[in-house]
Amino acid sequence: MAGTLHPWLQSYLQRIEQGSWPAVSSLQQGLSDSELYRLWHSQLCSRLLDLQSRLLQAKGQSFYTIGSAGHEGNAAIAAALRPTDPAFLHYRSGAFFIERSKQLPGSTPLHDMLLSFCASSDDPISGGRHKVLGSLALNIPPQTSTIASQLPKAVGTAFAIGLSRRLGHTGSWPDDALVMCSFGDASANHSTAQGAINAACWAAYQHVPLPMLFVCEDNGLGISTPTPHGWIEQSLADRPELRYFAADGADLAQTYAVARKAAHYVRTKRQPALLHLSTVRLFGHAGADTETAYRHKNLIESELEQDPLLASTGCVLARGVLSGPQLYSTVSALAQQICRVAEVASSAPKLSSASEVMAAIAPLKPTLPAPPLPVSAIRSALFDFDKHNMGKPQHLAKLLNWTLHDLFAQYSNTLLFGEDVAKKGGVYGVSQHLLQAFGANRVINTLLDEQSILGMAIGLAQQGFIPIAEIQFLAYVHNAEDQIRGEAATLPFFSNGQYHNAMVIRIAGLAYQRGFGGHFHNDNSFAVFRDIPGIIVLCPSNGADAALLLRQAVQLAYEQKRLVIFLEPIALYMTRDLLLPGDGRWLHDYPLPDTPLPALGEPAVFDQGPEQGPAAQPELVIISYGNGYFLSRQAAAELEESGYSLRILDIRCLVPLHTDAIIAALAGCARVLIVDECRRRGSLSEELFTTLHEARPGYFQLSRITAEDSFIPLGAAAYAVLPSKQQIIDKVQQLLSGERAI
Amino acid sequence: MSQKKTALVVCPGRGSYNRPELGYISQQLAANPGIQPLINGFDQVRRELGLATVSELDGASQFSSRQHLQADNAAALIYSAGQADFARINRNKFEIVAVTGNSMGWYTALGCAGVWQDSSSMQLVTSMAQLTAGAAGNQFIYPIVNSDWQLDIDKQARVAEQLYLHQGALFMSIVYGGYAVLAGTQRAVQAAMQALPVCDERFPLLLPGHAAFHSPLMLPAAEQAQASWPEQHFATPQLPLVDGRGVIWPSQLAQPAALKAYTLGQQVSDTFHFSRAIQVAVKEFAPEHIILLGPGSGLGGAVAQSLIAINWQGLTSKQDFTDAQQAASPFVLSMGLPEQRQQLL
Repeated sequence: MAGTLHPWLQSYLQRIEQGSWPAVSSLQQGLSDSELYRLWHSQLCSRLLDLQSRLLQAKGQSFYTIGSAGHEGNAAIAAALRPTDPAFLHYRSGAFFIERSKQLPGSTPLHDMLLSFCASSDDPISGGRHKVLGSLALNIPPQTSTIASQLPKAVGTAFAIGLSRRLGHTGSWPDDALVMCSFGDASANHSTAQGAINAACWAAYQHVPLPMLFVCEDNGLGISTPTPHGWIEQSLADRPELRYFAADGADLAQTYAVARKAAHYVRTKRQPALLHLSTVRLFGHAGADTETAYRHKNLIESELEQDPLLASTGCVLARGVLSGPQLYSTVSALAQQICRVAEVASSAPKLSSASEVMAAIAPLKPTLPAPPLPVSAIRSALFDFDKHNMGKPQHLAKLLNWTLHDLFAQYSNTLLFGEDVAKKGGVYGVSQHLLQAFGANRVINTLLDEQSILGMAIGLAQQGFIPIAEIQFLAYVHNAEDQIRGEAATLPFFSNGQYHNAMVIRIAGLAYQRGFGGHFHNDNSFAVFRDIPGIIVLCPSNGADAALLLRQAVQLAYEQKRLVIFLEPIALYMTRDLLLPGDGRWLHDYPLPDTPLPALGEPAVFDQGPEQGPAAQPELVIISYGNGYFLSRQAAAELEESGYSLRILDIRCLVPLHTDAIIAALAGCARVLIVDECRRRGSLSEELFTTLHEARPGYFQLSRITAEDSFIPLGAAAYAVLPSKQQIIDKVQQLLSGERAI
Repeated sequence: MSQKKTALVVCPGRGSYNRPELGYISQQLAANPGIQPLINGFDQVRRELGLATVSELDGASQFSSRQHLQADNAAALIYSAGQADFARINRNKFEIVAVTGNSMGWYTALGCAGVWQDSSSMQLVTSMAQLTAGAAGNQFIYPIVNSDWQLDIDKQARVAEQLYLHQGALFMSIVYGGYAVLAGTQRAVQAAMQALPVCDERFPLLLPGHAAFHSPLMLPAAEQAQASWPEQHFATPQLPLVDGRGVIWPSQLAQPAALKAYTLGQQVSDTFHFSRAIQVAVKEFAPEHIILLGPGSGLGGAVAQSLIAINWQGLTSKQDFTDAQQAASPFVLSMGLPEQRQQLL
């Protein structure tokens, strides 16, 4: 057997034979023999899996070898929690995972983790897509946890569990559960971690129930950069409303006792706490890390003596739980067992095609009947606040407001939250009166932190709510985009479709705003969403479509568990007129709640010309959305006077583009003008241009008008860099003048 | 690496000693006189209890359902045959990495792992059989797979429907590979058996002489057993065990109280997940072989169905399994099949 052993295991077995152990400082009296054995066994399994991962990698059968060595004390934290407490785990949590597995009969952690190491499609959590610690049955949502990005959603989940209790909602997790989230000492410095901890404190400070147990596993190193001595305690021990606990991860009994105390505090007080667990990092940051390049050999060797597994093994022997020979045979047998399981796992099937890999990005869910529409008496009472406006055409913001009222009445698990959405009703009044109608548990003002808002959405979604998050301005989403890109959108992918975080994110955005402008309130780039697999971006240009598309967004979240970005053009919120002051042509009737929804991706078609009618063949089709569509409609009206026959498409669904539906709506017209209010570089116009050309090479005569590659300045200068009605008119005339000449 | 082949040992439950198995133990004794003291010890216990000995029962000139299927007699024969078979496995060729069993096969597994020892093991086996046989209710079996041994959703749904209709009176007793073994009150069992469509001509099949094993109807028996047997009868396992929940009991760790609580408590009155035990064992121990102890060879189907359910080693159907078993040294080796038995000696 010696030939296949990792050097650490060889030396460990030698120690067992020689009986050379670090002095036992505690006999772990707080643990029974079987508890001690069980935790030690979880630690050992985790260690041997780490070693096996490296052996597999050397043979090209495993990939990502970052391990848990030195952090195995976290097994005692798992023992102190319930398996129904959702755990958002740091990547060094192998022992936690194994210990929790033991709390659910029938679990097979060795097999499952090795399948994950080998990226086998049989891996029960990610289906071969990533090495992640995760399990649906064990309430461990998978994530990569490399940059502390799991903290905001963990806080969101803790909030959601508290909210479930207040609303009498049955969620994924029981309402006496607490949320555990672990991270490293280096990650604790990340603004995402700081923001999440701050959000937890901010909520708890206002007595909002937040059963959140943060666990900072402090090994004193961020890859090669030491964490200053005492830094974690200094920076985290004295936060408002965050109870601080500390334990030595090499001492199982102490860790278990402290973790139990911390868990009891969080569970009973519904207040956040932080457990600071001292650990060491053994064998470098990951398999590829040459630790001797930045740390002195003596220091590395001395840390090997602080190995928590040596401490617990010494105690297992000192307590007489196992004799030396029993220990030797147990360790040898386990090592061989893991070797055999690794062999099975390494030959297990892998994902082999793009379609297999992508099957989990947005798996199709069965049709789910929507909740019944509210009865008319309820709607009458609900809309009484605005009865003088009912039955009259309204602008986009008002129709969105009414739509939200209807959706909240229909879907009892919808929530709206963001900055200023409650009493103020949002900056543009879109959420006015919702607080009065549905109460403070469903319409919630958040702190000013987009990462926390999106983390809250993820947590609420995982608990079974339909969150409608509001980001006040498009530009504000950019510092928080990873909560969508790296977390929310990847959850179905990393969990093989088992977990989802369906939600609607309403974002007020795009340019042309007349009131206060400038870059941050007039941002015309949503490129950040365009390459994220699985997400949907909808954008209405008028009130009627806004109502229908928002209902569609909620339905997609409810039934298909999709993540939908709902981009609302600020400049069109209050727009009433299309051509002349007072013409009211941009006001729309409110589509009643039973109005059929358009097919996803179906563009809205508007024909304008002297021979208007279904059979008319347009001379040119303008493809646009949002403000660009509005401007195109204005331009088309003027162009009609010159006898041009135009078709204008409002594509409405910006991501993913439904090319077939767009081409069908072109009605065979080859001359296409794309009007895109976003920048020339990176805007949707590029994709439209490419996709139309790819669909029928050489057929279409494509042109585009876009914004300049500039930020938006203040005042009238903004219009200098944005497409205008006149530009559209000029371009159409230019494109069609040749034809007319013929 | 050791040249020995690693193996999971699986012990059969009630119903495995029938007419064809009469004389099974005597044959083992003839081939391996070394196990005579073991059987003598069992006989001695039975004699002291005033019951027919294992040797007498096994050596009877003909099989008598009344006598051989009587609960404590059947249990004694199955336990003894299992221990005799286990003792015959050539440990120079096979390294046993874990032991599990179906239903009362758990007792045999405890014996194989050294938890139950010597004379007290036969006392426990006999006592548990008497206690549970005297309990209320019946047990019947119904398939939940098709003829290819793949899950039949329709049959599964019908079983679930019966469990739903008779909540509190009908229970999932054993999840036994491709079969659901249901147990409950006589009335609930009768009603469920009438409601389920007949398939393969013999199902639903009432298991004669079986009470409502592995159901809450066994709670009084479980309580009595726990009061009767102190935990010192549960020694430290010398081999890892996988129980009827899919929980692994490590070898070398003394857990007498916990082993007793499970064996005489939950194991008796709660669902026995045999399929899960097999699936956990193969996944977590990755044995090169599964050895099925006797008596008989009836475990093979349920084991194969449990493996097919998780596509173990690419097995997706009965045909796959049959084909795989044609190998010179097949994955599943049954002590009850003479050809395969030879490979194990």
